[in-house]
Amino acid sequence: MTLLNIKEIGIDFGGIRALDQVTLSVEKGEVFSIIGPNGAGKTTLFNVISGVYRPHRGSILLDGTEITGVTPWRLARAGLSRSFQNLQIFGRMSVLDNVMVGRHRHENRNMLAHLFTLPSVLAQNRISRELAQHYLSYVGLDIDARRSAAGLSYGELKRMEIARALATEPRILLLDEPAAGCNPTETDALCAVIRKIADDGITVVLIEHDMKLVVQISDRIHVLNQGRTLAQGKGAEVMSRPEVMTAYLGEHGTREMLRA
Amino acid sequence: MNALSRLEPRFRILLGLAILMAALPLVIDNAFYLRIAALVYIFALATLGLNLLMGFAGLVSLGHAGFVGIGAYTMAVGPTHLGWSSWTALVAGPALAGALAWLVGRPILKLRGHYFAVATLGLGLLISMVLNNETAWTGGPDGMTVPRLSAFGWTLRGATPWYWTSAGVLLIGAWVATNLIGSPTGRALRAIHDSDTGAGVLGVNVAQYKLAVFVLSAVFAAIAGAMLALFHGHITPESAGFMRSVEFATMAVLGGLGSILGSVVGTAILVILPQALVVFHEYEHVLLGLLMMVFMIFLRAGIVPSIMTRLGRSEL
Amino acid sequence: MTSAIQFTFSGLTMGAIYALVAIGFVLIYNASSVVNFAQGEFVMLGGMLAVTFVGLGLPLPLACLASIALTTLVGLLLYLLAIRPAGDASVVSLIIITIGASIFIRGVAGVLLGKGIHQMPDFLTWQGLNIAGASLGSQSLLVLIGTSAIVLALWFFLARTLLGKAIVATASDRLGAQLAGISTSLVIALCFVVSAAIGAIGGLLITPIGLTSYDFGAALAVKGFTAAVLGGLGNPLGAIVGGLTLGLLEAWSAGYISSLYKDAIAFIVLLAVLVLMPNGLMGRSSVERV
Repeated sequence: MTLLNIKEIGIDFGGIRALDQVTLSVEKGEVFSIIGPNGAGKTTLFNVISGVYRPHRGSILLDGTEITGVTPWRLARAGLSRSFQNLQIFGRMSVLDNVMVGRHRHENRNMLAHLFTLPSVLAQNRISRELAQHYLSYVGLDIDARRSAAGLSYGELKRMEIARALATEPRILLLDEPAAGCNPTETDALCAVIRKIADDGITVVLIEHDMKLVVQISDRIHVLNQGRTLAQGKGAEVMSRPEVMTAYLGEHGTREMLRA
Repeated sequence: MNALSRLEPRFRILLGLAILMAALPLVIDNAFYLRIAALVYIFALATLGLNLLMGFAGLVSLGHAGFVGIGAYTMAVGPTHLGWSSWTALVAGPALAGALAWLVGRPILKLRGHYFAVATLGLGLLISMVLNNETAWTGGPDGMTVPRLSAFGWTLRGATPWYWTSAGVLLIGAWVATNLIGSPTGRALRAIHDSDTGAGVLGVNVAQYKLAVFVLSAVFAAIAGAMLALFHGHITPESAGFMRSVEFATMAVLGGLGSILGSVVGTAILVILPQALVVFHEYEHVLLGLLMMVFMIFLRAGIVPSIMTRLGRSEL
Repeated sequence: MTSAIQFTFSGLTMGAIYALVAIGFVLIYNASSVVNFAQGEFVMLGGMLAVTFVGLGLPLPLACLASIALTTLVGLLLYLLAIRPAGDASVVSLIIITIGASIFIRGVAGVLLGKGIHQMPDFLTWQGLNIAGASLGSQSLLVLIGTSAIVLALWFFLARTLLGKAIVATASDRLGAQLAGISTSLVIALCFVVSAAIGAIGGLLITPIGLTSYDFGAALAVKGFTAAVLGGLGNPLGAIVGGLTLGLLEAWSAGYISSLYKDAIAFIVLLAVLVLMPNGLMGRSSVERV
């Protein structure tokens, strides 16, 4: 069953067509990867899907409902969440607080109650705190969560962002280069986490450069180049197509690769 | 001891503040000093409101005194021109300020950084201008008299009653602020401060929260303004002026953005210093400007957070 | 008809000053992302110092040069002592610092130069022009000509000289400029110096017309910023358009509506522009990279 439907998305920045005629669909429960050389428009596509940018052309459907141009916070409450390539952490808050913000959608948001710390607020805080701890363990971040988030390493922060996005209990999770800054051990751990997330029924859309991870974890792979769809398929087969190799390595590099 | 340690740090500070407020009159018996303390508490409430806006949501306002002025002038205009009782005016002022903040806030809160700051600057200046020019209503540059607050034959006047009134109101305000910080709303605000975008994708309706805290800060300011008017028995447009807005911003920053205790400390310094340096009235601007620059360069986090960091503690 | 032309003349004259302040804002903002709230004080100092020096017996040309030189020095010191030490402080900090600086400068001026109103006679004894019954004083002409000269000189400086191009490069892409060997610190210092000089010239040109006092700079800063935002913050040409537009709006509303709220026009325009056209008349919208 198709959860996410992206039809002929196009967006321009100045005179440049950052995305043009991009079409793809993501099935419920699958792990879908978007790859492509730098500048292909992958993060731009994520920004369009998650409502950070409004596309100039095309439409996006989530579970049959039109979500093109819907604001990020509404999308989050509809079950779509994401992590960021350049990190959008709350640097002056603790790790625990960062993840607790992820619970916002499910918390009692009655501001009047908040002004007077009624018992319901205390109970709410306790629940959010426990769940936040749960999600931190889920992604394998077993550190003192009361530490300031700013003190964590880049790899740890990426995992914190995932925990934070998971805390929103999304139906579909967009991960933007989660393995960036991870060593091979961390990448394997991440692979296991993504596997766990997918097994738990959450649809995952992934942007990644680490090809080993991509081939290992993905059900399907979509290749973008210069804002347009280049190829789509399964596993290593997509990677070895000449046009994909050319996009990454150039003509000369591709010839070298094929000869090797 | 067990009950005390179960309280979260920020509530402990609140308790400490309450104890300090209760103990101070025992130390300073003098009516003059009690009046200064009352003035500090009154201004601190406005600073606290501004701190919620600047320190938690990260929005710099250079027009905060405008809302103070609205609260203050309602206490004068209401009874004098509209026949209201002072109690009605006491509710109307903050309500008016909140309504204005809600109205103006929706468009200008879409602005970021410097732009928002200058928009609030413009707003504050407009309010101040109206108060200055509409002489028939506001008494113009010379201001207006403010009738005292009374109930059941008792009138609120005098150093000691004002000390306890202002202390009580500030304490309630601080308690409300402390509650807010530890709540989901508080977390949302702090998240917005660090990353609008990050907060948004987690389901935080950024615009709504910015508006809420803007309105709340305006209400705090107006309540402080109302008390100011009642306290002095007289009000002038200067209380809503640009310099006053700048002073509030400085008090908030000096004491430490994001620190409730800091709001009180920062206010105390800026209220007491001119009194202490009454000799230096000539150099008021020079010293204020110098203070602002030096602190923002060398003690950027503000007094209270800097001390807290030294002690290895955090107020939150 | 006569009054309309008269209002237009006075509007253009003040507008030229607003444009100079706005250009100063834009120059500094482009290179350093700092909104220099002390910009108005440069104009104030230009006028106040010139009056003081004339009062001390200096001939007018020398007094003007001295005032420009001293104000330029203040601008440089502002950068070296207040802005640069702040490093990459937050927006909040920088706003407080530049406001603090403006208050400080104002305070010192008030103490050293006196808190009264200062005045200077017109530079030229010539009466000026009379066009369709409206008079365009010689000082106003000087303001308009002076402003045009400054704008042209600035254009030439930025487009044709090495230092000017360094400024443009830094404004465009700071890291790139640094990698090309351009010292950001030097560029920003230069921007402060040039902005201060421009402000000072505007100040001494307008003093015969508009009087000056130690707290003249505050409202001017707000109006100058309004003009800059109106033109699209970051665009020097926009700053000029914005300044002249604001000046005209002010003059016409003072003439036809109410002179009490003359100053209010600037603030209303500011709020309207910020809300309706955040990119100003000539700016381009920018997208935040996430």
